[in-house]
Amino acid sequence: MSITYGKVVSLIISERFGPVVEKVANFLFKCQNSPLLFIKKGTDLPISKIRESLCVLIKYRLVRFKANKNENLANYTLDSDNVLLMLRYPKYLNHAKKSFGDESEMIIEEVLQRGYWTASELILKVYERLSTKYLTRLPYPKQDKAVPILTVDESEQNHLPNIDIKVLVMHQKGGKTDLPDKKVYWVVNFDRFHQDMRDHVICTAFSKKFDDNAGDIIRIFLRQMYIRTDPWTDISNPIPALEVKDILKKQAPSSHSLAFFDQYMSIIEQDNSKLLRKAGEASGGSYQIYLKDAFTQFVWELIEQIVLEKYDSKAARIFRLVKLKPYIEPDQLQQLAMIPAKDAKMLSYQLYEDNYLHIQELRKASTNSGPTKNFTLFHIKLNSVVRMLLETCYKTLLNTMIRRNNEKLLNKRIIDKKHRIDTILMAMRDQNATEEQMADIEEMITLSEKEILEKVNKVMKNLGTVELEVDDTIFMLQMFLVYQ
Amino acid sequence: MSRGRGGRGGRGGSNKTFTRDQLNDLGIGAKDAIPAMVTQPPPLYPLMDRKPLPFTPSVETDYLLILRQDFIDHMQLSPSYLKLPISKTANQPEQEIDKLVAQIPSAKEKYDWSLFPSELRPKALAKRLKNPMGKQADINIQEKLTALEKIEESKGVVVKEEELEAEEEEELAMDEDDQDEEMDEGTDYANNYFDNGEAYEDEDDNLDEGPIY
Repeated sequence: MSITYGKVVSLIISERFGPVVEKVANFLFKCQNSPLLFIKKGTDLPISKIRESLCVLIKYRLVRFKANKNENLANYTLDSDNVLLMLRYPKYLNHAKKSFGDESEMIIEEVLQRGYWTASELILKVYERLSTKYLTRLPYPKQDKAVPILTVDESEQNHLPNIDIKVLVMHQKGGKTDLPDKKVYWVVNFDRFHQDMRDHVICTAFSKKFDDNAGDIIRIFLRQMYIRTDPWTDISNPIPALEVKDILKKQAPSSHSLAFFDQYMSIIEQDNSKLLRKAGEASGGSYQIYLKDAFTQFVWELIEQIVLEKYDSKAARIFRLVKLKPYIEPDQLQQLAMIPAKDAKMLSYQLYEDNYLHIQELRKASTNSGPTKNFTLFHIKLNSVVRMLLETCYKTLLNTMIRRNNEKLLNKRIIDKKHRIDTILMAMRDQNATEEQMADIEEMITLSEKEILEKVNKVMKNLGTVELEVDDTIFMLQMFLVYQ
Repeated sequence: MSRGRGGRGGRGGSNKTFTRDQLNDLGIGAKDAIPAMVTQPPPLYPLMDRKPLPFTPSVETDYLLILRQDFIDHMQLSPSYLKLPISKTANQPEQEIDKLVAQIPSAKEKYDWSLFPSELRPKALAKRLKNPMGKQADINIQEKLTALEKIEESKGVVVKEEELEAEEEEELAMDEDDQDEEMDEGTDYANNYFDNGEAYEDEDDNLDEGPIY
């Protein structure tokens, strides 16, 4: 909950909901928890606007509310993590498209854009999504109160509504019938997407490290895991290897992954991510999936990579050394790193200054005789490094967003011109204008302006890509924190 | 240098400043110069030590970017994108495009109000929702009155006064309601004025309830 984080959140909201909502969200971020009238006092907006913006925020599940002591009033809280997830929406869509095809992408898009929706309007195709928990029931009020208490039972969460196609058709033809699931709304279940993205991360890690066959085997293991285990546990229940082998036999009877199954299993088991570990020898061996350990390992590798890119390979060597020997004396570090002592000192100080290394002091109880001996040891607190990096990621996001807004502002005139000409061209096309007329209009953008536009577009694209890539890193770091 | 440990009652972890001993342990001898204290803020745009790797363009990222832009465009055109109320002193929109944008009817969102706290409902709607409650209350009063009458027969005068009071209160409430409606039928200006007055009172109530953070 740092200032940078707050700024990122506010920029994301202003881009999507405009300045009014941003102001309200900003105030909520500062106060964490505030009733309506305090928001009015803090933001200086007319109360109707505040009402509207709170409705918008609640609709998109960015604000939660709870009854105040006085039960007619509510306290509003900004769900800043959900705001950050808005950056990940394209990835959810892409994932849905990849796993289920275009229709499901459209469904998810629709729900994301509307915040929530009833199933009737999304009709039958939703069935598939619901049964795989990509959508979940929006909590609803059970009693009629001034500040509704929104709840949803676990059994109802994925319970399919009865959809009567006859009624639907009637409704479409303009009949006045009420849809049966009038008050049953559905929202996108981010958790389910994160689960899939997590699995995807694991599979690609193994595909990259070994080959695609290893990735396939891991994918099947993960799928089998869900039969026996809750998806977010640290360690899964044992999965028999024979089961995986059977599936492979059915799927790809002549693939390498089947022919060299045992070899693949042994290299995956020996991999230092320690994702799969043998649980028992019975019936061809069974394996447990250690998700927590695997993600700890992934995050280690991620951090090593960051150190490498930021401070070069010598610093990375020092960092790895401290990781290998969790508590290490500076002298020893300089000897083992096989780098000139002066360089080693410099680099370790630099890493310490930027919070990648930490110092642990060990004090011996002072005895009456002889000098007391203190040890100062280098060491890495993974948890705090991860949080520090998350903070850096937010900072990066903030910088890219500010840069993008600035770029837009600087070239506002040209961008607006382009927009206007585009709309004119569209209108002309509708009226069947001749090619010559169209060309005339098109020439209104001069060559130099075109160049600038191209440049701006390129910068925008780059900044957009940064946003997506940084979000990948954030996802990885957050996954690590989920398992803590 | 040894502003060091304790002092402020921290958690006992090492602070940023080191003692001489610690510096020795870290390999800084007595002779080594310790850099002077930095009193300036770091530069706003620090130089980059190394050039970051270029992106590897792929069809997937392109697609993700398109999706991203689509979503943002959709949001900006949707009624959820609230514009700042245009104050009367502000200049007229200069660009034609702004005029065109201003002409787009700003449709209000439709909400299922049962999902939201009642205080967020627009005034008119809140009243409509309240009315059936009022009828219910009427029935209750009727029932109560008959019940009271029965008790009255047995007990006598004291209850009568209470009944009178109840009736008076009801009348008062009715009066208030009437006033509300009169105000609502007026212009926007009147509406706003009324709104502000109510908010002021409510704030006072809140002050009594607890501290402000």
